[in-house]
Amino acid sequence: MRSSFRLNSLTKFLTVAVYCVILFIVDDLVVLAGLFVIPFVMYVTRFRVSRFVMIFAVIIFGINAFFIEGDLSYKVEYALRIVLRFLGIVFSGMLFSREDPNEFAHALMNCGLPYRYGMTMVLTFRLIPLFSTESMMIKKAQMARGINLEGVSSLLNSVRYTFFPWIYSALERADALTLSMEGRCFGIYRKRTFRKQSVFSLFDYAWILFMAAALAGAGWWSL
Amino acid sequence: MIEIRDYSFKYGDRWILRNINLTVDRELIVITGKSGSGKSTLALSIAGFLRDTGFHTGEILFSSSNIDEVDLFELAQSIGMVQQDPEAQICTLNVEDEIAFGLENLCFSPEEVQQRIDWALSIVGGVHLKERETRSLSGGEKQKVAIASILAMKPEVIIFDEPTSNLDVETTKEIMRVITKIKGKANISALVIEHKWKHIYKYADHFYEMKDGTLVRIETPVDIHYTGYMREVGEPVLELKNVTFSYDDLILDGVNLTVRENEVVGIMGANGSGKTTLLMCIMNFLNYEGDILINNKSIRDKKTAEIAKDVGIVFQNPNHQIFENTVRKEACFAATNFSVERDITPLLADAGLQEYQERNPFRLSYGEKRRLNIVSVLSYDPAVILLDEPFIGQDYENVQKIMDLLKGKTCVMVLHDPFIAKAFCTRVFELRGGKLHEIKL
Repeated sequence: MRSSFRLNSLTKFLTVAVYCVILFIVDDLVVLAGLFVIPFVMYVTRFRVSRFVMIFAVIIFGINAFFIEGDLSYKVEYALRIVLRFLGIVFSGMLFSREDPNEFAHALMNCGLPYRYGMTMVLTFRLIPLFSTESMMIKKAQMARGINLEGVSSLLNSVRYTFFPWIYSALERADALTLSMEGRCFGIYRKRTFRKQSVFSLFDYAWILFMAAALAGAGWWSL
Repeated sequence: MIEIRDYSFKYGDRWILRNINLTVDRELIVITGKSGSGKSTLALSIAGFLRDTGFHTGEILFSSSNIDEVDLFELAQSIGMVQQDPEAQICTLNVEDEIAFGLENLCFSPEEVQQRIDWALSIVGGVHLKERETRSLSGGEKQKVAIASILAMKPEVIIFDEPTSNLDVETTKEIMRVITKIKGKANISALVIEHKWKHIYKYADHFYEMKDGTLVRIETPVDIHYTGYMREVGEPVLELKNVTFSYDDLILDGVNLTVRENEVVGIMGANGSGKTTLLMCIMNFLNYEGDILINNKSIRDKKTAEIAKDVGIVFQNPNHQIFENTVRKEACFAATNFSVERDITPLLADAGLQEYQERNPFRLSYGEKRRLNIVSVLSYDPAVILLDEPFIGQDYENVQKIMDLLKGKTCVMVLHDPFIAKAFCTRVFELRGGKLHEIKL
């Protein structure tokens, strides 16, 4: 049984969306910092932060501080705001991306998204890792056949020599999948049933109410 | 019951199937035959997938009605099909969703769906897979799930189109056992198309061979015999010293191997035992511990590009290693990159590809593509050739052709088929627990 304090995927998605809106409504640096800390702490206590994100944040800070006109404290405050917003969005987004995509797709279909689109989403999540391993294999095959993959001109070469094998495998994959899905009656009726229902608990409703209140509060306060 | 009456199928100007007569009624039927003989075309025709393609005469009856007139979805509920590549037919993210897929499309109630998932998993011997994500499954497990997902719809017939060609020996036997169980326990007919007939032959009610589009009933199949050849073994060419590699788990645990000139070393082992990883280490695609020597020189700190000329590799999927738009250009591709001058024509002739020189390589048959891959490696004459499961989906004749091409070359090949290994390999090892154990076949 799912614990009643676990949020539905869709609620989590709404939370992230509302959170990002609030980030832009709020201007106060202290509140912004407080808002940023929530997903940041939730993320770093569970996952490793890539260096890329931090370097990118520093670059954004630098560019903003450099190009904004005004005295130093204004410059720093302005750039800090931008960076906190950026990191808030990135970390909340990354948190959400760690959610089970299957659950999210099913939650959407439960809320009325036509199953053709919902199942396409599921299929996409199923295929992405396959395509990425396939690209890696093609790259390895190129290196083994003496294509040098270092430097800019070689990058172009690699793209050129990756395209056809990749497209060909994709087409073959599409063929097999069509057979597999049609063979199991995908698309026979306008509706389809779902084994699992994605449930909205009382906690979900309470949470959504809370987020709505937070959004309204932030809006009213910034006026 | 399926009744095929005098069915012929033509695609373009070529008759692929000629006057097929076959009845399938609560039986296990095995059809074998060479690649390109029309086996898969027959399977697709029965499942109704070719009704809008090509031209056909005669008829295929399902429960006495012509399948051309039955709605495709209705037909799909009675005739299921399991394809060759387990990876390619799975379309959801976890096992239960996958098995539920067809049932949910047919709007079964959640309770019924759950019941059938449990039933189908118990028949294929996969109850323990229930909670798993599909991407974490091994090839054999994926195939079991694919079978269960068809089985759950309780069709009358399941067609298996070379269901084990991507699997190792033990897993092949297991899948074959599952198929016989389906016929016995679920009372569902099975039509198995397979050139590895040895593991299923004794369970078959009827056995057929497809020969150039015609179906011939066979009482006892003729055994396969490959023609190997003598090899004079020379100096060591490739040496692996204590090669160790781990992702999260230890995959290779101090592998030692010396391959001498002119040797063909076979590497066998269960799916996922690290055979491909071993080849990737030799190519320096992975960062391993230990040392690898080619012609007595360590390649440990060299880049792949620097050793590629000495170590050729043929990957599993032929489509992933075709880069040019004509067969001839593709055959010269690697040699040109390595600045090797070489007349490619005799090699193409040996591979039986000379008449296709100007054709697009992607339009070749599976067997021809595989030979083209090998020609492309032979063109620059590397000291060692590594082959990763080169015989997947290749019939007896194609295997022989591939091995004839590699005559006199030093090879390390990953393979599953003990018959091929016995005929062509000078030594065979099993990769088990991260170590190589020499085996006698």
